Amino acid sequence: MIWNQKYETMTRDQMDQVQLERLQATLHRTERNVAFYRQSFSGHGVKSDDIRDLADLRRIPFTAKDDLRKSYPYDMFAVPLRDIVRIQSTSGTTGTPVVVGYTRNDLRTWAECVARVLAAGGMTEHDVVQVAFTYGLFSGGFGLHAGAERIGASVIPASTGSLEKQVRIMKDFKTTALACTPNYALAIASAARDMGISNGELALRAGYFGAEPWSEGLRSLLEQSLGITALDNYGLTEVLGPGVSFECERKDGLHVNEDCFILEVIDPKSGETLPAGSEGELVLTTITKEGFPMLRYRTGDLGSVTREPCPCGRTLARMTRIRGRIDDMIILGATKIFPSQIEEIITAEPGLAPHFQIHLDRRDGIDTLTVLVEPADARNDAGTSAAVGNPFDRVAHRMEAVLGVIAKMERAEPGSISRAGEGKLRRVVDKRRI
Amino acid sequence: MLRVRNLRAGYGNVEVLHGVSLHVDEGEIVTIVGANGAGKSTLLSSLAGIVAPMAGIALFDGARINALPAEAVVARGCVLVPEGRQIFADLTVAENLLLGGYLRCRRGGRRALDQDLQRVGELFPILEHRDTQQAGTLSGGEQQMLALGRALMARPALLMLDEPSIGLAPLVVREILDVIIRLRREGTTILLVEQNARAALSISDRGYVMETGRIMLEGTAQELSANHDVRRSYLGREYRRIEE
Repeated sequence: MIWNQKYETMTRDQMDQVQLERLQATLHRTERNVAFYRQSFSGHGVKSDDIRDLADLRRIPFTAKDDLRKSYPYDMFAVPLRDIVRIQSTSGTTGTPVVVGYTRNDLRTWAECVARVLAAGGMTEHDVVQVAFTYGLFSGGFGLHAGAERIGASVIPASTGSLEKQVRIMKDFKTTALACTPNYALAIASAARDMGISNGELALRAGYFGAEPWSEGLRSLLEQSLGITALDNYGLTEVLGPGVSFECERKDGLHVNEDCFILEVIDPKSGETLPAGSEGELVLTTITKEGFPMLRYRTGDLGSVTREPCPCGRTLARMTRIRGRIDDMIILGATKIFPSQIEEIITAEPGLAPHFQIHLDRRDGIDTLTVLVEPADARNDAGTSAAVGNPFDRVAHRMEAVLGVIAKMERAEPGSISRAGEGKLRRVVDKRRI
Repeated sequence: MLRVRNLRAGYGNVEVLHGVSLHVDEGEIVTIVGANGAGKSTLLSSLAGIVAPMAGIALFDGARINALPAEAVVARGCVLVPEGRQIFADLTVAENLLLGGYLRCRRGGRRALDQDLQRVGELFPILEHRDTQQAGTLSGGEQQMLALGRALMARPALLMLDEPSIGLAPLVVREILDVIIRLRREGTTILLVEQNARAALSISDRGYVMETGRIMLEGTAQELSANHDVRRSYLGREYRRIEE
């Protein structure tokens, strides 16, 4: 279901006009109100007046995560603090946290963006949405909450925590949609099985998963184990929170809320803007945010964009699902691979549980990759025997054949990896770093 | 209906509009809010063909109007009600109205205007009563209605109003706003320029905020009314503390 007919089905011409107007207004405001951008512009010899076309956007310098960290906490806010009605922030696990602020209008726009995410999967006021993202400074919880509330669904602010509690709520409160990270959903599905609760006892029909990359293999697994349709959505706190882009029922790319964001794809090394279809780093510019506008923010996420029309009827451009972050990329000698590619292989192997961890090390000057995996739970599966052949060997063979990587497989105790975190799992342990 | 991209305009060597982009969709009431000197009147004048733009494009129903003379712009259905009314003081009310229909009269004869005169009379009964009165002797509010009526005689698809409320008593402003709402209901698209942001936003769908010849903010009327800068600068919000 299309939530906002006007903006989700605009002609390209109309959208270009809306984007140009909003971009110019945003540039004028940020140049005037944010010292960082004022200095950045003058340092690059550009003025907001110089941007006459969407193509001119490439004249604006990039904003990097480091710039945001150095502005901790409020230096990049574009309005006085008294106009900010909400503050959220990133976790700060990889450095100084990034603090973002929202005005009243920003909160309204945020809810509108997330409403579109949920409506795309058929959510209406008759649905019961369980938001199992952590509520707090992290933007996931409040973001999904506001969108679900805008639709008029019955929102359960479950947050994260005990898996048994999540399952109880899902069953007793008759949840129809679950919103959380895909790995947390996997853990919830596991817990439900352990508690002897079958899909028939749940009212669940949809899952909205995001905040980390996840493979098609993991999608199939989640859809089967929970009896739902699982949809991807993308966002980041620095730019909005959830709600930047979302899958429609076609599951063929994520529609970008282009009336609120301009998405570019660049070559991460040269910074050159790439044409549609080419994979590169996603760069986002906000065009409606008042409190914390972002100009050409380098997300570090890898993907590509397409303007091809989607059969769903939306004219919003689509981005590919995120394969991984540039930082996630594992470089082994001359080979580059992403954890999500390994996930794809492991989730396709019935003899193994979908939980894994990658260990990188260096022995005698040679990089080694070890994959810790758990054997499949014998109770789990639909008809395939976990004991046939050697699942570890099969995965190792596929990794060599498909990814060109020679991996050592190591058996981990069932449950040792899977329950290791309530939010984001530490997927890669790199011991090569000094 | 109206699409403007990077319009630059000014007087002599002085550029007053620095790349303004905006649009008005059919059936909308769009307001441009801004202080004195922001460039709002220059914007409407350049759209109307009174001031030739220095750069940029204005498209009306898909066709360029930025290089057209004023009468050609009116002929296409885009009509300006200028700032300060600018009615013809020495002519009667009726004569002022007839002049508004000049182009249509040239094409279809005097009879072509009968229906429109009737409609204007319906919208502004006060003008009907004074149709032989010298326009310069009307009150401010009546002159504004006359200016509006005169513009309507050209049967605009897009009506542009430059500060219709200026110098008018609040009750009269309310009447003018009600007429604008009625005009939209009856099929006229409206582009409104106003210093009285509160009044204008109260009847608008969307708006733009202009400062020093640039658009600084765009949004729905609700969003603009909720924006703190707009409230402080244009809506005369009550200040509780000196530093606000």
